[in-house]
Amino acid sequence: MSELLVFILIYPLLFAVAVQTRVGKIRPYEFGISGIITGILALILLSITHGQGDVIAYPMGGWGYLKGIVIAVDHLSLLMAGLIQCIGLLTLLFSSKQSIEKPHIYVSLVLLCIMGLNGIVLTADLFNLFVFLELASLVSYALVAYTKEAEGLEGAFKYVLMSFGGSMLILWATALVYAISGSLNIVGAAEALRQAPHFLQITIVAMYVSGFSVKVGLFPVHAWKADAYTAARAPVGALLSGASSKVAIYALFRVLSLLFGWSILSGMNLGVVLATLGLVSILIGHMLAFGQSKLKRLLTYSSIAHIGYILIGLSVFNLLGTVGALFHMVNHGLLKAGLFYFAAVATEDDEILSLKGLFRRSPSLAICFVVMALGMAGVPPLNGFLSKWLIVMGAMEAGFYLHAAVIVIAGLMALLYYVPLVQLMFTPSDETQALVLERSQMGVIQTVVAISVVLFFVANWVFPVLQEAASNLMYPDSYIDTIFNLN
Amino acid sequence: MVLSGGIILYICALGTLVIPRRYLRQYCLLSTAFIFVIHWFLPQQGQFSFEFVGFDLELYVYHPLRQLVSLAFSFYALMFFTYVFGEQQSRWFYCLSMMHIAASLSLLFVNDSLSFFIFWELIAVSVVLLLLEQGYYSLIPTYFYYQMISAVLLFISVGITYSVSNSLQLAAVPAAYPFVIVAVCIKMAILPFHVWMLETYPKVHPTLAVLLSAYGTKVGAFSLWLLLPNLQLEIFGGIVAVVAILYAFKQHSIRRFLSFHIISQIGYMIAGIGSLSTTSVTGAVLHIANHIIYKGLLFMIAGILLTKFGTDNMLEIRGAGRRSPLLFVSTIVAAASIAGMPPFNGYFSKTLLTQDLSLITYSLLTMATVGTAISFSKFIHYTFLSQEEPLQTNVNLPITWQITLIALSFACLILGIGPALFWQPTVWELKPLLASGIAVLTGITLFKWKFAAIHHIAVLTTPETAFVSKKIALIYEEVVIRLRGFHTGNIQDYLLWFFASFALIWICIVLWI
Repeated sequence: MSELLVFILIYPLLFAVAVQTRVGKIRPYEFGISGIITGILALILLSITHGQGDVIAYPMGGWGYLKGIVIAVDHLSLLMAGLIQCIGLLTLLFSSKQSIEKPHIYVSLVLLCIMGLNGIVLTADLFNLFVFLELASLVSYALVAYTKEAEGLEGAFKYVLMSFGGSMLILWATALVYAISGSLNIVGAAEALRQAPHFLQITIVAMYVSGFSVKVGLFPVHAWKADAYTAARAPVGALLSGASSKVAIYALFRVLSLLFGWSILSGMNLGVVLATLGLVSILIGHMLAFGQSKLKRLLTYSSIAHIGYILIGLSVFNLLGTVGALFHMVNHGLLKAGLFYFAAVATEDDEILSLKGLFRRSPSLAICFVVMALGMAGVPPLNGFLSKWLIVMGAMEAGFYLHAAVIVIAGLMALLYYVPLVQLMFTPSDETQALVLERSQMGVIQTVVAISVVLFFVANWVFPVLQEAASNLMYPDSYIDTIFNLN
Repeated sequence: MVLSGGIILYICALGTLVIPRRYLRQYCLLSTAFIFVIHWFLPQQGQFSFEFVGFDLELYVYHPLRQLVSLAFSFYALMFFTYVFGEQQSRWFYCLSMMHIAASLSLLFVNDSLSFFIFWELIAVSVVLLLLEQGYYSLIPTYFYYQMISAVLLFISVGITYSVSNSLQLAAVPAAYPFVIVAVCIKMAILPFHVWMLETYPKVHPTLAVLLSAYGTKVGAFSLWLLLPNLQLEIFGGIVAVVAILYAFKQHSIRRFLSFHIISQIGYMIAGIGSLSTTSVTGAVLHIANHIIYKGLLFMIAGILLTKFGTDNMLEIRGAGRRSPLLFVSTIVAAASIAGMPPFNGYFSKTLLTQDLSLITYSLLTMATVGTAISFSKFIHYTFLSQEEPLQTNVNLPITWQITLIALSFACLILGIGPALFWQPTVWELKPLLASGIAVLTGITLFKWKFAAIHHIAVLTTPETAFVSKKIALIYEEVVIRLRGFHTGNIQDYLLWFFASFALIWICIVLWI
């Protein structure tokens, strides 16, 4: 069944091109949605045939891992791919009722972005990873600029410049790896790289870390994010902050863990550096979200903070923290996407003040927001609490006391800006006209809310999956073996 | 496997969303009665434990003291739903108040810190949702922030305990003591963390105050026993009891006055639990149970007074004793209980509690008892006895209110006499009888003798904005504004940060080899 991998990789491309042909009466949204559903079905089929603990690798064109391109999937990649398709599906479902001009192009762009992200999580080849990263980024610039306002262009321009800086470093590092090892396969390059001079190793690690942290939007290169996501349409913000930034974190840790193994990295104290960056991101993000007047900007800063949670969870590098971080990727991805959808329908001008009296106008929407905000702040019984708990316990176990304490306090800092919003929504205002939503839009938001409640109660069933994924990241032996056995 | 009663009540709470409107109140009564019966016949063996995300949760562990408090909690829940029987409340009100009770009940039986923490937060969340449902939007921030600070501190202490002992045990390790103590103090509304209480209990609808006043703080006092079983807090408890009384003197609003008395009574509980002797701890936990009964009764009286007389100020209500004899009698019973008059329940638990205390704490608590007697004399004197206005017609209470008043008053009496006769006859010795009798009588005499002077005794003013003061908020805002100044929106700056960060990361890694 490993051919399914190829299908998952390229199905968005097929559908994106097909939408453009405009043959017959193709309705772009319906077409794109059915495309993603096909992809999800393929993913489900793959994970059923996947079995326990197996890694599936597929050498493209049968070239083997040294010369050719290998795509491979383990539990971790499957988890990420699932998250990407889910958020993609929700985003397309949601935007189908937004009035976006030239829907054909919009749908194509979203599909292409999904393709880039899929490529990043599926490939086992460094250069391919770079290519897919660039594909996803290029499409993201277009998506951010997909408004006619000057703001959108400005945001996109900043995004392009900053992101190119990051790409440059990633490409440079990849070139260094190739020069040292003569292989572009992550697994193939690893062995030669571990023999390389320490100085070169450090430089490569530093380049990857700084390059990817731009894509992730980590402190101190987070500033573009606020402009780009605020300028973008809200569903685009949902896709980018829900899926793209998570995938970038995934790519960073996958590359580092496969190339160097954690023993070398911990010798460099990389965990401390990354966790500290995460810590500052949390503080900066939550503090800047406080008192914002634009809803999307507030959500973006909150995103920056939550990236910090995930980063700390991953850099403490024990099972608990890693599981928590992966769980938080899923939880935050869904909840933040939900909040961006909320921002799209609740206000027209993105002003927080216009949320006043929302409860009277649309009670269910306001209640959905309350649940999502509580989930973001990490209040039980919602999924956000569980992942935060796991990360904190992992950090405590690894001795990162300060980081754990900051994560815990961050929940309070989040409430400092969510509670006034809730208060505002429930305060009666002059405008009493009911806010009627399209059924599919309301459905998307309610789905997110339902998932976030349900994920808490079924966490016991989700947990083994996350554990598998976490051990895939931490101990990638089976991944390496499978790729070695291809030749 | 034994399902904990709190979990069953949670399931019952979900039922309120589907039960037909007509039977809703009866349903609530029935389910709380059912829960009461369950807690009466709790199995002594058996556990309710399972693995959750890699941690072992224990949701049910039997202990006589846990059962004791749970009986008081569920009995009071029954009384509360009898009390609201005559009112028209929304479906969500019943659901959320049941959830509040269920979270408090569940917390009593847990034996691991993850589920403890979850229920700790759920208690606060259910109150916040209740406030939202009832429309008290302006009260939410104070309450929620205080409760979340408490939760955050508890979370940190749980983390420290986990990293030291590598288990989710409830008892905190010494390194976590500062966090636990402050967390529990906030939950118990100890001065100076009492602001959330004054922002909630006296300002909400009387019915809601009747519900909230019973559970939130008592859960905190009980968790002191769970979380800090090895910490000497005796004298601290005595000081809390006395200081809160001083604050209570000054109050004229009945519910504010009662709120300070809650804090003072919690001082007794802290002293008992913090003394670490078995008898005193038993007495303190018993005091939690008794306190729920008589303080609930007092809050109901306050609610009835507010509803019937239209004011919360004890100086403005005059001659209530003549106009409603039942109310008067039950107030006397409740006041006697809280002051520790024999043979009411307050006397029994206080006597048990003070048996093993040191002399300093004992005298502090005696002072608090005298103070309680004084301030309740004041309450009864102004509200019920003084007759400056012309006599008016009787106030008719609805039958459900009459039932709750009578039932709770009898509970005060029975809980005072029953256990003392069959279980601990030592409390009927001359010494404790004399001691508490004299203390209460001293209080009343002091009040009668010179009540004008005592009226002005309390020179302390209430700090309304303690702890999370405006200053902290201002500093926080200032920092945020400074930070925002850095985010100029200029791409040149951002690119500079980018290259600087690369250099920084590189240097960090190089330096830390």
